[in-house]
Amino acid sequence: MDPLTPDREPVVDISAWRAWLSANELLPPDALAAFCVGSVARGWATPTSDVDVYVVTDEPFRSAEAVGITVPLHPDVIWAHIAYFDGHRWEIKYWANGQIDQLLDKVSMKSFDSDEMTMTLIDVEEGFLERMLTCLTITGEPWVAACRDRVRNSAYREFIVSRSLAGVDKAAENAIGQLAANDVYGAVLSAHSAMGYTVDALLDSMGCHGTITPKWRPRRMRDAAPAVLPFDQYWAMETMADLDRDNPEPWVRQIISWCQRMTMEIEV
Amino acid sequence: MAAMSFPAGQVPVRSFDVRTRNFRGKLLIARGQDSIELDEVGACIFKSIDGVATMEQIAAKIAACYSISQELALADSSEFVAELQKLGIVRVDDGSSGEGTVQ
Repeated sequence: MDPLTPDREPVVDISAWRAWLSANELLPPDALAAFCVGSVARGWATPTSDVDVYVVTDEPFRSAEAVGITVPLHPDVIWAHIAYFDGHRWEIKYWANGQIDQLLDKVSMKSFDSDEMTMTLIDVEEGFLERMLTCLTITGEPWVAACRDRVRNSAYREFIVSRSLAGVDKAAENAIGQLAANDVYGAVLSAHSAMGYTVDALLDSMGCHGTITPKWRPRRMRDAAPAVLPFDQYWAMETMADLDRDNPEPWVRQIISWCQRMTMEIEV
Repeated sequence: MAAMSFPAGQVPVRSFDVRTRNFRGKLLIARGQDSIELDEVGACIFKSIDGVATMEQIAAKIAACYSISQELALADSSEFVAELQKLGIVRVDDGSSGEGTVQ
C-alpha cells in the first residue's frame, strides 16, 4: 500500500471542536473566524501530531494561560494557548484582523516589485500565509474564503519561489566550487541541497506550499504530481539512489544540470 | 568580418555556473555579473541545448518550430550560440557535463 496516497480526507468533527472551544472560552463569541491549519487540515497528521488552530478577532484576544509570541506587526504580539483535547495537544494562536492586513501588505505585488524579491517575514508570519491556503474552517467561512483569495492574489507565491531559486543558485555555486577544490563529498551535499530547493520552487510555483516544513516534501510531491517530475524520479534524487559512492562527481554534475534545466521552466 | 558560428557537428553544453530565471515569461540568463534577457527564439535555442544534441539537430528543431529552412535556422542558431560561447554561457562538450542522464 502506498503510504503517501493523495486520497485522504481529514477525519475531524468540526462541530465537536467548535463546541469544545466555546465551552472552554477559547473561541470568543465575536471571533471573525477560526480554522484548523497544518498537518491535520491537510490530512497529513500522524498519531502524535498537534492540532493547530488559528482564531482571528477584531480586537486582540488572549486566554489566561496564553503565551505571547513577538511579531513584527502592530500589536507586536500574538497569543498562543496550549490545551489538550481528544487525545491531542492543541496549539491555538490568536491573531488580530489588523495584523493580517499588515502581513498581507508585506507580500503585496507592489512590495515584490519594489523590494528586489526579498520577503522579510518571520516563520510564524510565513506560516500563517502558507497554512491559510490549506486550512479547514471551524467558523467564519466568509472571512476564511476572503482571506484565502487575498493570499492567492498576493505576491506570496512569487516571493517564496524566488527565495527557493536563490537557494538553488547558491547551492549550485557551492557545489561547483567544491568540485573545483576537490571536495567531492561536500559537493554531493551541496548538489542535494540544490535539488531540494529546485523541487521546493517547482512545488511552490504550482501552489503546493510547505517549504518551511521540509519533511512534507514527499507528500507535497504526491499531492502536486508535477508532470515535469514524476515521483519516482524525484525520490531517486532525494535518496541519491544513482550516486556511485566511489565516484560521486558525475552524480553532482547530473543533478546541477537538472537543476539548471528546471529553473528555466519554473516561472516567477 | 563574418559572424562567428558554432560548428554544426559539435554539441554545445551550458556552462555549469550559468543561472537562469523564467521571470514573467522572459528567460534571463546570468553568469558572474553579466546577465542577458533572451527573446522567444533565443530562449527556444537555449532550452534546446541539452548536452546531447548537435548544433545541427538544434537547428532542425528551430526550423520545425518556426517553419523556416534548415539552412536559415542553422545560420541564425549557430551564430547565436557562438555569441553565448563568447560570453562563456555555452561551451563545446568535452564529455564532463553530466547532461543527458537525469531527465
